[in-house]
Amino acid sequence: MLTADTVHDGALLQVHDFRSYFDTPAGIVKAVDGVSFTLDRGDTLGIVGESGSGKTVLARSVMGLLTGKNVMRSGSARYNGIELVGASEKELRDLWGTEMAMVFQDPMTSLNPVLKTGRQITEGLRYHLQLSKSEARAQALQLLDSVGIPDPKRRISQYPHELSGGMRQRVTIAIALACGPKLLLADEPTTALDVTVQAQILDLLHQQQVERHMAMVLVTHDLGVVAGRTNHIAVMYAGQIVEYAPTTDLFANVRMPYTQALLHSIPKLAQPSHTRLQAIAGRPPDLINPPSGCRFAPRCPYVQPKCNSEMPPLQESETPGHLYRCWFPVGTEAGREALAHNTAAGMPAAVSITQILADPPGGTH
Amino acid sequence: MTDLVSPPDGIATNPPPASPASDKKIKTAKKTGALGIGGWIASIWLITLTAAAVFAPWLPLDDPAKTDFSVPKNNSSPFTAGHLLGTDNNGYDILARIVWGGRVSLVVAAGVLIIGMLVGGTIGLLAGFFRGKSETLLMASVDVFLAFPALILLIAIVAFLGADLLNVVLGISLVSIPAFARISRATTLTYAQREFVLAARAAGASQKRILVREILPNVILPLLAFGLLVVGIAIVAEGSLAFLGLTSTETISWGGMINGGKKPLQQDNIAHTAMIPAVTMFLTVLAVNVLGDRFRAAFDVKDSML
Ligand SMILES: Nc1ncnc2c1ncn2[C@@H]1O[C@H](COP(=O)(O)OP(=O)(O)OP(=O)(O)O)[C@@H](O)[C@H]1O
Ligand SMILES: [Mg+2]
Repeated sequence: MLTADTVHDGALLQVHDFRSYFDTPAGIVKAVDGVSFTLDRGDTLGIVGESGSGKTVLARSVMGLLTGKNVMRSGSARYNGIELVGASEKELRDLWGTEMAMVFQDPMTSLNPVLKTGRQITEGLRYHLQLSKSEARAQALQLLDSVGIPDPKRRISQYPHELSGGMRQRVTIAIALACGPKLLLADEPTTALDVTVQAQILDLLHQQQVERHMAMVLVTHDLGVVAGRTNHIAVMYAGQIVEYAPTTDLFANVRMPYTQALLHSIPKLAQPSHTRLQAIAGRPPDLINPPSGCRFAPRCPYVQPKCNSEMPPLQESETPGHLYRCWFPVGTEAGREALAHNTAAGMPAAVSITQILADPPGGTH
Repeated sequence: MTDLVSPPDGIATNPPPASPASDKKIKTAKKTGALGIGGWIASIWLITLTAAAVFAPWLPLDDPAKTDFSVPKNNSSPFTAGHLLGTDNNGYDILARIVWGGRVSLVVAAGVLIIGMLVGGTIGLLAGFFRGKSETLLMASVDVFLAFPALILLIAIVAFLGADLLNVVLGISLVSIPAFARISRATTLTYAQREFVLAARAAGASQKRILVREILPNVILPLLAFGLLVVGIAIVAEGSLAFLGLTSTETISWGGMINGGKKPLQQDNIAHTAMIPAVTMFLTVLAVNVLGDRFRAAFDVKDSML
């Protein structure tokens, strides 16, 4: 029997050497390949990475939502001490909604188009918490109010298409929060929304998280989103965590060239045109036959022969708790030499990052 | 007409992806209402017919089985005193028989919607949702049915069970099951992959709850729209059986009336006895189709707005 009553100190979610592969006709897609992290109660972990790096697969398969015949999971993911890998759908269902919940990227598709918003919120309340119809309605109104929806009485009887994008995402958040989960997985909750609404939704998530003392995994491809809103950040590349650090330390002491490249691709709002300053040239590697050395090597400005032959382990920097996966890390003598060498050799990626580092575009920032 | 099987073109088995073009659709839909003028006319026609058929015994109509040779001759043309639509070669009042014949079409329509849609829809829903072995089994049994041309199968059923109205309705409904099952399965398949289903799972909803509360409400609308088209086909199918003289002659039906009108048309060049029931049937099928179409358009808009 799985019970979630036992209180374990500290860690709420412990993921260890977690893998999620897809068996496809073309070969085995190693979408998540040996990921480990720990999330404490009430904390927020940001997972950042380019499109295709495996963030969605990680979030969904940790929760146990990927159940296709071609899905192969291994390793361990423990929620409150309960092993989720290998748990039956029935066992997981006891945790879904009440212990852990998910907010999806696109509120246009994650709400049922033919059901009124009220019904979609009360549904879970009624079968999880056994509330009566009127109790559930009252609770739904309160939830809508707490996620900042004006005039909940009117909104509760409207269909999703009658709401704006931001409003819909507020509804999906209300649904996710309805049964008081202790862990919320938010998969790019603002990517589909207007820039002006994005900050509001992120603030709402943060506020709810603090009020409810809820842990959160915030998935995004934008380092700017997680900057001030997370305790830890895990940077993902090609199915692996390539850098993991407390948020402040990550921004102060970037070690991984990939993270550095991501940092410099944050669009600066101060710039007249919101163009990405340095998009990372090249494409993420094939996940069926990933490079045998460092997976970022083919695109890395710091790349050296060793990088192509040996995969760097996830190692700890001088700061405790700051892990990275690189032979020639940023901010070290080895890294500086590697970059200087590549720049001198005229490698375009190296030249461009050297320029950016010497003369930050947009002046001071 | 014999094709009870393949879904007509333009039936949405796939929920359309949201497109910028849908903006225009939304605006037009708002302007004319969900039904549009054609839809309103069709609704009025069908409501009138249905009401007349249901309340036929209480309406001030002639007895449809009473011959009236008091008028100069049988086959009297429309607007003859006492006979708004005239009489046929047996001296029966055509208006009364149109109204009473409408009852048959009504029963056929109800039978198709209740039996065909319920059974076929459920089979498709289960097959599309659970996939795997149950899908293979369910759809295989439906495919066996499909191996026979629908009208041949229908004639065989009626010939085997006897030609009274109940058997005709039962036969038509049975023959419509595969079509409903296919549409329902296809629609279920596409909705089962939608993200809101995953969201419901992530919220802890059981399989049964997802099927009944999340998917069914989405499948039922396209199925009903398709059902209206099948009703149109079924009415014609019943008419064909009656026209071919394969149903009981006791039952007054439009098809039977057209059949009866053949003789005056060929021998005396009198058209109205066959024309009136034919036009009535044509208008009814048209109205049902128009309504099905409007119906589909209305929820398409809702879907594509998301
Ligand atoms: N069902 C599946 N079968 C095969 N491959 C899959 C499947 N689902 C995902 N993948 C592959 O796994 C990889 C990781 O995908 P994932 O959706 O997790 O990326 P992501 O980091 O969430 O990207 P995005 O920012 O675009 O959401 C991709 O290469 C994708 O093609
Ligand atoms: Mg994703």
